[in-house]
Amino acid sequence: MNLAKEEDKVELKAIVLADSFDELFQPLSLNKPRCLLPLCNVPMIEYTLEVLALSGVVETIILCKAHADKLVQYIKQSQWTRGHMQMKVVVRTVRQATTIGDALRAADEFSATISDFILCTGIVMSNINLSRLVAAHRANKKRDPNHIMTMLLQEATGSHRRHDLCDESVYFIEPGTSRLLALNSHSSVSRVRSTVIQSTVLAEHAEVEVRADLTDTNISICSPDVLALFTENFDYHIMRRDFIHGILESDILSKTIYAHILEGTSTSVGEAFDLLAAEGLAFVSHSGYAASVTDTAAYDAISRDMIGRWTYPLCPDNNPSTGAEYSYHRGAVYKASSVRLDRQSRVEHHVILGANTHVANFSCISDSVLGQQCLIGEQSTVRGSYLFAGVKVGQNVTIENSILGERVTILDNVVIGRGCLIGDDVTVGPNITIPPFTRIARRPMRLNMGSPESMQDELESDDEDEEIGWAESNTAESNPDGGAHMTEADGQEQFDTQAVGAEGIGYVWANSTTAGTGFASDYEDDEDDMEQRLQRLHTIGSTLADAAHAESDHDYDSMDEETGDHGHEEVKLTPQEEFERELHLTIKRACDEDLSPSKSALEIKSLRMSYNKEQDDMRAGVMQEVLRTIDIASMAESAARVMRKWAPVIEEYISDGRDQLDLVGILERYCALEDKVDDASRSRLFVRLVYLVYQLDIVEDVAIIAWFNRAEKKPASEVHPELLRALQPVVDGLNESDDESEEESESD
Amino acid sequence: MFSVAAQPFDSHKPEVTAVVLALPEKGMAVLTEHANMSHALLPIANRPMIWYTLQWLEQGGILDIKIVTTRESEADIVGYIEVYKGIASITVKALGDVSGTADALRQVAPLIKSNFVVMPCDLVVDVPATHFFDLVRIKRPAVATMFCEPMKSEGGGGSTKSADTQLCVGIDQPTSRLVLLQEIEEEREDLALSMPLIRRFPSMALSEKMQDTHVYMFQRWVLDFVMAHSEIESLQEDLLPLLVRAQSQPRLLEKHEIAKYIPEASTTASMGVYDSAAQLGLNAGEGGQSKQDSLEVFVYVRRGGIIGRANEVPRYCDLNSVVTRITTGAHTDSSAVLAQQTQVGTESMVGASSQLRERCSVKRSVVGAHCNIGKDVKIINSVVMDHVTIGDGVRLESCVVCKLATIGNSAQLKGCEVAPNVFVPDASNLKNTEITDDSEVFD
Repeated sequence: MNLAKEEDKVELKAIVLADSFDELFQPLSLNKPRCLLPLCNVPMIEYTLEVLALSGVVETIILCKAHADKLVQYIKQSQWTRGHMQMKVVVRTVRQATTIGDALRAADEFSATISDFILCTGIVMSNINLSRLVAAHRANKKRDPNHIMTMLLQEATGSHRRHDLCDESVYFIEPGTSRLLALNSHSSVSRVRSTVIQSTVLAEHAEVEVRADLTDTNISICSPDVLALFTENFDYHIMRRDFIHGILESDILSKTIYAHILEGTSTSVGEAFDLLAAEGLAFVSHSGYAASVTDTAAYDAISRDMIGRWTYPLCPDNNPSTGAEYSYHRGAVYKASSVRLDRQSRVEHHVILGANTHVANFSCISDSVLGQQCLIGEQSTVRGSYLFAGVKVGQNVTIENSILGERVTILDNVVIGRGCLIGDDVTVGPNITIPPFTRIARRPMRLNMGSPESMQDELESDDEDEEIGWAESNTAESNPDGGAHMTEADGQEQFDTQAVGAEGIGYVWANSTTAGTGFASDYEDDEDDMEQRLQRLHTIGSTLADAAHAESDHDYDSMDEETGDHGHEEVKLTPQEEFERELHLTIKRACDEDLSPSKSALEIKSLRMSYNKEQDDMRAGVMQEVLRTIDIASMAESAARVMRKWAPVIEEYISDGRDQLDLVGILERYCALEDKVDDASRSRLFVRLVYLVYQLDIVEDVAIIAWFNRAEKKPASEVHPELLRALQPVVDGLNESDDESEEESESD
Repeated sequence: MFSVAAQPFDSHKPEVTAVVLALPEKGMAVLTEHANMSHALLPIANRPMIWYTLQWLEQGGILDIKIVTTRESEADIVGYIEVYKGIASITVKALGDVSGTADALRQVAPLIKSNFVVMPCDLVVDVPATHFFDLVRIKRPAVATMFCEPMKSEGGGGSTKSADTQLCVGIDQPTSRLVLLQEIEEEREDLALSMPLIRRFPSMALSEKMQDTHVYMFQRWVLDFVMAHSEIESLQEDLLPLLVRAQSQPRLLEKHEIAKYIPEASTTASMGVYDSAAQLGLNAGEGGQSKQDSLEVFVYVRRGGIIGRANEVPRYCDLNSVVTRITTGAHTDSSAVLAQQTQVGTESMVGASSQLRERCSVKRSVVGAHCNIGKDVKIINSVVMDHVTIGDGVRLESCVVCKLATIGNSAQLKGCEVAPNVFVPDASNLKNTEITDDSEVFD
């Protein structure tokens, strides 16, 4: 009893890892540490500190690396340093750290934690009293002295917005005590078919709860040993992968980790559950909210939760730290008092409007957060997006599921697809469509210069370092008055006008360039592809379908254990992608090895069989690939050679007049759209190809004339007018030579 | 046997028909096969074990009971039903040749017009049947079954050890659906769980302590399915695992053509308010979902209660002790004659008109009716059935003595089964033996 009292008196400490040591928020986090980015218009660190203060924490240590000076400055002027606060906040810079493990080792050096402490690996948000958890942790430690950590997990089933899309973790938990027995983490991109429980776990525990509906809140209660363990095992870098797995799987350490599960809203009616819980350890309340901002997808989910008041009492209109006072309106709309809404504007639901925001007529805002001083032009739509302070949006703009940094300017007629992250001070537009999942920053990604591998390495390890460097050198230009006047040595700056628009200011950031162009990534290395998909899943606006192949094989292939098709775990392309790839390889091989056309024809035919393709698909696919082999430099003869070579193959897929028309269409589309062909030679190539297919008797003159007549009536978006114009003389010639057949084809 | 004319009147159709399987059990063969005794009529705490099943069903409001048995036992069971005082209408159906439980079901199919429950004759359950049946009435699953945590052994009895096949059972916690059923092999291997299963049922309780009680409540369509698939032999080993797997593997629904048997009406019935919102959300957009959902295998779990099947000798003995202990009222029948200095323990029972001579001691045992027991006899942890004669100075420990057996003076038996009508010679000293008519242990 006395002992317990003594322990309670020990001051409760908390360690917050403000850095995540990943790049998921870039380029938003280029000028500021991630923890100072606003969430519902309040810097995220505030929520974490609020939770800790309310839980009775006496001292909080924030470990930070990137932009540590800014964090120090922020804390200094914040409410936390004022006299009346009970909680002391200390910011520690861990300059050498490159991973969470490093940071914790550093913490072990300078902090003399002798009692249990709260560890938040990342920016967290919660409405539960963590001190009760600490008490439960201490109580359980008396029962099990090896208990070193209690993880706080939140229930969230697969389709829940807070469910981590990237990670399919399966927790094996001992019923009753909630001891974590094993943890299998799978990446959802690889869509594994089975997960394995070690026989040793089953041998020791006749009953195990298997949970796949838990999300890690990144809040845990740790014994002092945890830091020591990190110091002893210098190869521990990542909390989950190294530390938790290390503890659970080690026979030597014999430490135990427990889970505290916060139930979702669904109530259980099952008998089995009740009885399992009946003899359970009386842990504290099992309901509440806790989550952590690990990526932009989580940022989105948590913002929505907060707007939907799931985090009550942490709500936008109830914010302790900001001066901005929000009033709460029907449909979960929060308005600051100085908001100006034009008469014809529409603010639908789940919206936060920061101070001095102005929404012009005919604009529509829903499910979004607008920071202070945002201006939305007429006829613009903002849906599911987060606009930081000072964003200016022009007229007729659509923004969907994206995050826009401070002082971003979107000019007129811009469409921003879902999942875009646009860094501070960028200008986009006018008249441009930004493809989904594009990242745009004010400054180019310097690492682009390096070779791809070293780039990867540096990205993983040193990126936050780079950020510091940049932040320093960029201070001059990141003035609020905009980056229009450049003071750099090379004078005029060249922006990615292709990507950000004619008057745009900014550069496409990181490997999202390839992600943006869609199918171009298909031929890349599988691993890169994985990486990319994973990153995409981490991004706001992503759905499980973004794991590309996930939908197709999920239910039907993998579910059936009886097919015995185990172990096939490599990344799967969709059948269409796979087919295109195969076709490409086949034709390439045929060219490289100079195979006879009949042989390639056979190969291509077998492809058709195995992928069960229609003739039309085959024609389009084969033509596309064949045309790609034409050398543009020596266009005329190269085209003739290629077409002559492949004529027998192409003929296989032409059976009637309709097919011929289609073929001419394919040629036109290829010449109009293919990037390989430069604009000057497009029409030349087209005429040449049409002439060749005519000469080789693949297409009859009637078909060409008929196609031409039809194409003339089509809008310019479907047919390239220049190509048509170039074809005119050819058609005229054909017309003259064969008048009757034209009539025939027209009656066709 | 059953009037077909009753068909058009729905009021005549019972809500649920019970099929009680009174078939011989391998684990009890020692006690039954030598004198053609019916397994269903072996006594537990001096009552034929089928009494417990019939009582349980009646208490659950199921009054249309068909007892399925073999030709050999038919007369005995019919005889017993005549004296059984119950409210249910009971029909006994004898089958000539039974190759499995599913086969038995197929043979009595014409008698089953409604949803039905199939259960064994040797089950003792302490949960009121209404608990189970009311949950089934609410949820209306395709299959409802009852699993239990086995009781702790009371010391067993007989010459064999019970040999359970261990099951690994997965139960979806929010809905109490049985979603995984797997036998565990002797040599433990790492268990691979399929991820599609986990994705579909993300909160699963996995247990190796559970036992199947063989109480299966089926929707009527399952019978049609069983009729059409003669390759299904056993309900426990073939049908149940198939249906459990089909819940998470839509391909099985197609492969075995289960889907076409599921009536449309039941699809809507199970999609009631009882499905948790989370589950509905999770499954949204998956094709063929409604059929999959209507194929629900519900499981009722009984933990730590008095529950078990008397299908093996050791467990038969255990049930005897437990049931005796919890039986209220006089444990010694008023017509029994106990001589001086004879002690009958509180956890024991003595049947009607039995006679115990001087200085006998009965502990944790059941002695049937009309037994004649000599002086200085010690009966510990044993079951002695009716009409048994025991000589002076006999000591029985953990034994089962069947009816009409005679045990000679001063015999010492431990862990033995004594078959009906057997005479055990004086001064026999046997351990862990099956003593039957033709056994050669006395030569």
